[in-house]
Amino acid sequence: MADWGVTTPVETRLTWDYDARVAKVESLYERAKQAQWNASTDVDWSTEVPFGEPLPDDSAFAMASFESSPLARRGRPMWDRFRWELQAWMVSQFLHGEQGALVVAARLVEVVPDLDSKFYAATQAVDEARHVEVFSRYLREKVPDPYPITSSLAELLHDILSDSRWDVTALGMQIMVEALAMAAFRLADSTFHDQLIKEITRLVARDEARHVSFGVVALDRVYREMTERERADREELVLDAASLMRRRFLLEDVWDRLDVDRAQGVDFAAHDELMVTYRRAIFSRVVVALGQIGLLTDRVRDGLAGLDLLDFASGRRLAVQTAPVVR
Amino acid sequence: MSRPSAAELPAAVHAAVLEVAPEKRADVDAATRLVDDLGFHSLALLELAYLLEDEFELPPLDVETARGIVTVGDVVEHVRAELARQP
Repeated sequence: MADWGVTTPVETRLTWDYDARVAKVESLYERAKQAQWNASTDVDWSTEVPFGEPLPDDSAFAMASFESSPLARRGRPMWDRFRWELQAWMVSQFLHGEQGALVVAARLVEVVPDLDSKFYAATQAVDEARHVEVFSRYLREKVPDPYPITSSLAELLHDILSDSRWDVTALGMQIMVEALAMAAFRLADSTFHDQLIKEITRLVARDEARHVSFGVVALDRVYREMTERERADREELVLDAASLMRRRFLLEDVWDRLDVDRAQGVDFAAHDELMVTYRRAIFSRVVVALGQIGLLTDRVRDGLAGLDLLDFASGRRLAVQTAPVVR
Repeated sequence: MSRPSAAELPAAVHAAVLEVAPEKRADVDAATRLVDDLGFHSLALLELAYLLEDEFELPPLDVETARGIVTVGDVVEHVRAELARQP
């Protein structure tokens, strides 16, 4: 894929008020400074990755999924190949998403209005650079054939980067992309198959929680003061992003590589109980973050339910709790 | 959710466990095993972790601690220990 250039006019903000403080953001900045780690020295790169080797049995839930998949007729070794390919695909998409997050964090340094937020966003840019470093090294040294960016993630990143409104950029990246990644990392112990990537995702996950917290703190202040029309714009973005992220996890690229008929593979990924539950799981933190910034409105809740992304316990409870409220 | 009393905690945790358990059982007690008796798999375990973290405002459960949680009683003790650490 050719390199990208995205031209977007943004308003660079400077402030001469060095005394103003946003306590919650200041606290996140302090935590970020204390929690830095080094991808070169804090990760044991000598750990072997037995990519493609046979894997132990999955849970009964996962094995039932295999039996109903288009892979079943090609035998158990194909399930293990799928599991390794899915890992390679997911880590590849993490890498591409992290590069998007890197440039977004750098942009936030420019465009956020207060100094504490600029300080914090600068630490996030360093975090994201480290994530790009660590995932790209893992893929370069340990995975035979990483994946290019999947079309739905590319479209989402392009939408986020093309918008000149800083809150929209932050909403797309800090809430939608980062919260989804945070939940995906929580599942790394069961979805990934080598100790090295489990260790890497454990380190990266610590940073992601901070990034989502910043998105919530920054956007809650903004969205409380928006008009209905402005809020409707953001609802649109949330639903478009959710639809793209759901499409991303229909795994078209993986089916192509495994020589599985794409329509059959996508149909399986769309309806299989394990796949549906996985998407709900990784989307659950997005739902919670949307609730925290007042964007889990009737329209958003209905849209997410229509995409089958809502029915995970914590998000489900939140959706019920917020049901009568339109902010 | 307001913080439950020590006496209320087991019932509150049991209710959360049963809400997301893949296999429902009426006779859940401290010795009931999450995986072997209630059919928990990794996605259901994450669902339970998120539910408890949100309900009781707990910090994210780390992998090492999660590996040591086998029974419903272990879940109750984990929540009790985390709540005791909070100011």
